[in-house]
Amino acid sequence: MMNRFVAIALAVLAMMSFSSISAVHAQVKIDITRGRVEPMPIAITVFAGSNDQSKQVGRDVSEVISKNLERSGLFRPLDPKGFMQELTSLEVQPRFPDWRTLAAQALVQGVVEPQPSGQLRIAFRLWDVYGGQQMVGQAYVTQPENWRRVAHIMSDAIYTAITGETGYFDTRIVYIAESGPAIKRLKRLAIMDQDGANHRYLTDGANLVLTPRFSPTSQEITYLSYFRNVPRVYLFNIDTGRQEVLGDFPGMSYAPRFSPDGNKVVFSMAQDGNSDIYEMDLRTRKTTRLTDHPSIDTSPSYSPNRDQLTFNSDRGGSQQLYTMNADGSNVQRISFGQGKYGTPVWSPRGDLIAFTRINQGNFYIGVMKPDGSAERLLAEGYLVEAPTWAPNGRVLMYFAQGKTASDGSGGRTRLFSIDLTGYNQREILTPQDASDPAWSPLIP
Amino acid sequence: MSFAFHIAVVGATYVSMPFLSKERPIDTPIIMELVSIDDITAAPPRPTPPPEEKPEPKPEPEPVKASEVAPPQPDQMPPPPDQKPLKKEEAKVEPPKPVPPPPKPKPKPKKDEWADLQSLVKDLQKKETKKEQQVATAKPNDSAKVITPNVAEKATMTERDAIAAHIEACWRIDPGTEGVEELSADIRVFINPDGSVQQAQIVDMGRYLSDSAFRTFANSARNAVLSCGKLPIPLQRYNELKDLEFTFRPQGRIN
Repeated sequence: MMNRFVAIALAVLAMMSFSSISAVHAQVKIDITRGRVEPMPIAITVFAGSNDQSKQVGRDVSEVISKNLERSGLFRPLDPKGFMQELTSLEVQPRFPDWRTLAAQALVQGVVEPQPSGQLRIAFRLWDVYGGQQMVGQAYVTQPENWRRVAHIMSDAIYTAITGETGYFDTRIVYIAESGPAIKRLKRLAIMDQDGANHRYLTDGANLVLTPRFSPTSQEITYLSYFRNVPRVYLFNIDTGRQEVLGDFPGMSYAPRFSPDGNKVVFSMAQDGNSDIYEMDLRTRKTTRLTDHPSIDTSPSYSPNRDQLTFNSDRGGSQQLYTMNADGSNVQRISFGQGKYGTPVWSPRGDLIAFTRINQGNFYIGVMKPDGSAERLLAEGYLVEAPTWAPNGRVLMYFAQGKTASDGSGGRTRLFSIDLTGYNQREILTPQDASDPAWSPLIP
Repeated sequence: MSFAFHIAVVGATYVSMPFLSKERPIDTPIIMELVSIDDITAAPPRPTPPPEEKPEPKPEPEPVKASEVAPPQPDQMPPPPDQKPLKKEEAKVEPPKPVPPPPKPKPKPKKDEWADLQSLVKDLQKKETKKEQQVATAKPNDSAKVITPNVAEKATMTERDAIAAHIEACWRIDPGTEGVEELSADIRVFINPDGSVQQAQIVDMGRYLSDSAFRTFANSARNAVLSCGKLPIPLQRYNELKDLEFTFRPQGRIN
């Protein structure tokens, strides 16, 4: 009886599945498994203005947005000469079939409106051309001289709405500006927007400065300075200009980097010929030693969740990358390729560690997963070094130095950015030679 | 005889259990234009600026300050203009005609019920074994296009290859997106007799509205279909190929 019941139940179930399969016969299913790595065509109209000033700001804002998006490698701004509709107001509905004819997949329209207070109101809408819907719309009121900042903020909003990831255009770069002959090199801290605009020097070059690093949570940097020929780690608030030494340690301290919450700084300190990694709590000024090994441990960098650190060490015979828990336990070697590895930096999104690799006289910038797998080399050069992540973990910046000729010419150091795909390498133009870049978080 | 009885039982079950056929083939198409992306992705409509957020101008110290201009304040953004033209477009879209239910099988004379059920189970088991054998002998890496056995009679491999190649040439993908290898999106597409796309619907709208990574991925898939021109579908094959479902999944295969 039981067997009979089970058999009937099975049969009914089988029939149910059979009939539901027949129900989907209406469709032909096709898998699409290959895509093309090409930038998305986007139409960015000139922001409309009502007087000379607002018209000029409108042109400038749309140009900065256009250049930001183009430089990301993910977008291809279309030539405005081909646009078939003039969008003079945000209340004008785009004629989507016209924009589709241009193959635009997204459309940006905007206006700049003078305010009685002398400020400007800058507003934009981003349209999904094929969906026929607004994806994002924002407006900002600001002083006219602040238009560039607004353009970066709007670029980030557009980037986020289309890619689903946080943007990185409203950010700054701190780096070491270099000038003068090799034997008497002048090195100064400098800062600029991520696109090279608003360039300024932060120090006068009286003291040698190296390895600036941004706090992930504030407009504060830490760096190494040879004040009175003593190398020490300093903190510098770039909004207030306030500068302080991190601590008065018995040995030489170097290679500082903030923790992801900005509350701690991890650095190396050399004592009696041995370099180990230490951590300082900026609130209590308490210092904790994290490694204790008769080898050179340096270049520490936290994982975004602060659970782990990566660093480089020659404890295995050659300089390689390691990870360890935040308390210094569970040290694991993660790099096993030929040559030497250094300057590891954990990605803000946690999935990768960027590094410099030196092999057979060549330098490389690469990334690998935190367990050491999936190593990929993104850039190569005579000397490429010091990768730093954009806050969204999609783009790296580093510096490259060319070969110096026998007559002393050449050998320039310059900044470059490259995205994770390795397809989009761009030079960041600076007034002088540039090295050791550090990318800021999004400006609050 | 046994076969006829099975057909009769299957048919009777199918007709008497309407929920089995109710949902899939006659899905009410989800109208894209009614979904307000703005509500999900846009900044809050009235982002009231924090009252005391403007930093006081500070006396400039010796080292240069990086920024001296007050940050821009967010302002109210009016809703997008009326989208009546979209509704007109929407009205043009003709949803596909429902697929007619399968013909009712003719009633068959009664036989021994228990014996028939046993034989039915045996037949089904045989079919399953055959299917498993087919799957085992198929080479999964021969082609990127997965052959769905139950539609094999509707589209040939050549037709599927041609359509897939056509769409793949238009699909822009960002390989730097975190976890892109694991993403996949189904797009249901209705075709006009001339091969142009009448309608392209993102199937999983629930995930589309709640998952920004999926939304970006699904948009790229939908745009690939809508921007790709006429599909290579011969007029004489229109009835078989007018209703397609594309599954976009990169699986690391990025040109």
